[in-house]
Amino acid sequence: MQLLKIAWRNLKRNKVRTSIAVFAITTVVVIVIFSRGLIVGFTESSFSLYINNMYGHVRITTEEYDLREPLLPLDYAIRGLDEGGASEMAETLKQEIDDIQYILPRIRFGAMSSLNDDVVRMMGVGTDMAAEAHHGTLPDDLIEGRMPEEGNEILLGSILAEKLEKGVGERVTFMYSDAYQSMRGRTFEIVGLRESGSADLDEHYFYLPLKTAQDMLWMDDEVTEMLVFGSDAQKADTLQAELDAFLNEHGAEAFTAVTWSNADPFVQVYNEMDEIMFLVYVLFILMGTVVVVSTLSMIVRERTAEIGMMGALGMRSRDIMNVFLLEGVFIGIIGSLLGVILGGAITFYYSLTGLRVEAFAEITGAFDMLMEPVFYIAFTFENLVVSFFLGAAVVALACLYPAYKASKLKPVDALQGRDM
Amino acid sequence: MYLLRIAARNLFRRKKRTFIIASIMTLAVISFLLLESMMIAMMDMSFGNVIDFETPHIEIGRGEYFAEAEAGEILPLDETFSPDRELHQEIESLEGYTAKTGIIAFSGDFIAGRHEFPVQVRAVDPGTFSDVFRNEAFIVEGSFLEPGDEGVIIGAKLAEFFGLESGDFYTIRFRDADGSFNTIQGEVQGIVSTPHPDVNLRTVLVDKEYALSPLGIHEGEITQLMVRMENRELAVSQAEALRNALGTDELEVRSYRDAAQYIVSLETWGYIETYFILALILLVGAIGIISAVVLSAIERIKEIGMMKALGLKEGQIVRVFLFEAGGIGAIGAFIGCVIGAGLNFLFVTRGLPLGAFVDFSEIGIPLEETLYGAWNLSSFFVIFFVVLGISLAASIIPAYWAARKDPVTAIRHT
Repeated sequence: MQLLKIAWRNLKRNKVRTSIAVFAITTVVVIVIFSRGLIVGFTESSFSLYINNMYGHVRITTEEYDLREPLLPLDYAIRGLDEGGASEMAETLKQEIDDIQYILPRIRFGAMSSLNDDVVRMMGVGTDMAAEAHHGTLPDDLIEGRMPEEGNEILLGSILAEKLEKGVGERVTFMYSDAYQSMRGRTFEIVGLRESGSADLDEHYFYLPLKTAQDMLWMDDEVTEMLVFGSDAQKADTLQAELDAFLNEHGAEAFTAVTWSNADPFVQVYNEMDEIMFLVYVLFILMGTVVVVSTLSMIVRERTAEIGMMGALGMRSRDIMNVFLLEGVFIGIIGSLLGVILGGAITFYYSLTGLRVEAFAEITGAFDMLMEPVFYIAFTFENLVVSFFLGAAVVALACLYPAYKASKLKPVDALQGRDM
Repeated sequence: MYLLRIAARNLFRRKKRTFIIASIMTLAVISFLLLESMMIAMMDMSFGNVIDFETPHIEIGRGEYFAEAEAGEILPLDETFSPDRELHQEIESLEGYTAKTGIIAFSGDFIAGRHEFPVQVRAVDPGTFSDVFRNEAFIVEGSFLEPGDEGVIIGAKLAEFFGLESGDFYTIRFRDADGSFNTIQGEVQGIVSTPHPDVNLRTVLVDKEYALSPLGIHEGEITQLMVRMENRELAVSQAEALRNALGTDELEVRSYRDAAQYIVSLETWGYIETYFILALILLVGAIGIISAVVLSAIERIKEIGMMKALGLKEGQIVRVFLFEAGGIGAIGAFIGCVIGAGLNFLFVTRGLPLGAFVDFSEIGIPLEETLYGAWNLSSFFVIFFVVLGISLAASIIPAYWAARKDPVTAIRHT
């Protein structure tokens, strides 16, 4: 307790010097909070687009389908366990594996529409509308009209609707190939428009009831994929392992279950980037720490005589070390705390308003990548806590060195004012 | 001069502090140099692949063709042109001109077995195509096109999806110049595996002579005239020169940069990122400099008083501290340049195995497995002076703060 007081008082001896050291730590902690918030916000928004629209927590397809996915083949569909039908398979999975909350069975197929002289290509998704309503993504993104319920009702991406020059209530005719590869046409009624924020989804996708898709494609009780949702996206690995085990047990090796994090190369890149970024954060904190360490070294030097005095008065070298260490730790804690307050305020602000990055939208438009052109920087308690401890801990560790040197000064030398 | 000497000596009084603060600047310099080298290398590679397999240095086509191609998903076959002698002469007289070839690019559905897939078909002239593009060098199976062949060259990825080998049959369905459906069919003659992932999936080459009549296009008509130049730098300026020489609105001259907009925006984004990171490190570095000046001022408060008593003007004292800060910046930047050059040398000679981290072919960015760094001498100068400038700028306020210390209290008090 006594040591704490000494350290605290010492810090106030030269306020300018102390505040600069504190400021250095504040700055680096703000930088870390901001960058983490940016990256987490960006990946989370992108990840949730992938999870909610493409892969679920785990996606089940047949192996052949997985290989040839870009072709959108219909003849590698899931026909159920022992060909017993997809709906029965979904029911069995739900019963057998506790962690499964719900399953979205879907058929994806290519479709075209001719507009004036041009052909517009798009992707149709036949999906179980009741399950989608429970899942929530499609109803949440609805900007006009309602969800399709039956028959020839479809939900259209907003950009696609613009391209086709159609609106809610109007009819459109699409061409597609059925499972027997014959070209067919069908007229649909647009009952709703969807805007997800991701250009790729809004420009290329339309949704229709699964039953309709199965009828028109000659795929009775078949689906091309099942998006399985467990309790937690982070636990997709365990869910995937369970599914794999179950499928193997039932002799269904032809199926493959892939977690969302492994399904798309972009997601994999982000995940790896996260790990590299941690090193960058530490590096930034270290740079701020440099200022604290040089300040502390100077403090030690300045107080050489005092240290000698303390030693001569019988203070153990451990206590001397602790006094200086505590000074460093105080700087680290105060700096990190201020950083957390400032960084928290900044991330909180941008988590509400979002950071518009038009240049980035242009790039991602060119790739098959799901993301929104607005970064909502993540404001999470976890981010603040992690950054705080990262700042405080790195500073404390770095201050061990000057503190240790102070404690090793011999009282006699120190009193005589010999420099270290 | 005298002040400079004082500053230099002061700099080495606290060697440890000088170097530890300078190390922040060193870090800034190293990260900037390596990031920049990586950026340049990535862009070289991406643009290089675009030029070799997609759009060479300069392409010429009707303005309407490019406009429609960018707006819609279907390439318009009615926007062809027939290059006249004057155009050929203009192109051949360009500085750095190497080769040219005409192609007809159109959209079609590649059909084999039970599947079909939308592709871009390029009807090419086998005689001159390989002078401009490098696809032929990447044939992994079968052989390249000869005039009159009915075969196609497809990418390895497409072949994998369809399970095709050379000799297998294909059909391509498309809308001809009149808008009616038509097909061409024959054998898969060759399979290419290029470093450009998109070409491996979506580009199909067919002999022009064979494709002309099903396409409903007259002899001599093409959609694009592709020109290869000696290097990238010449391409942009020569495209501009050609544009002026032709002086027509009907034909549009585009450089590879116009054609590969997404890589240009990727480049811009990469630079924004690099400068953002640099700015953050420099910000921390500036705080370090401020702290260094303040620390040495506190330490030398008596000396400052003494200097004033000896008649040094405030401005001179300010300069002593300014020089000292500049010295820290210069030392940091210099060490950074040396280490950065060393690391970049490794980067250039050994390369960075990007493939180990990311499968770029899956993402569709035309990058190869190993990335080799690039040298850019000007970035060394730029970063050195930026760091020096930041160091000087950061020290101005603390230097005045130090110089304003009252000499009397300064000497009396510690």
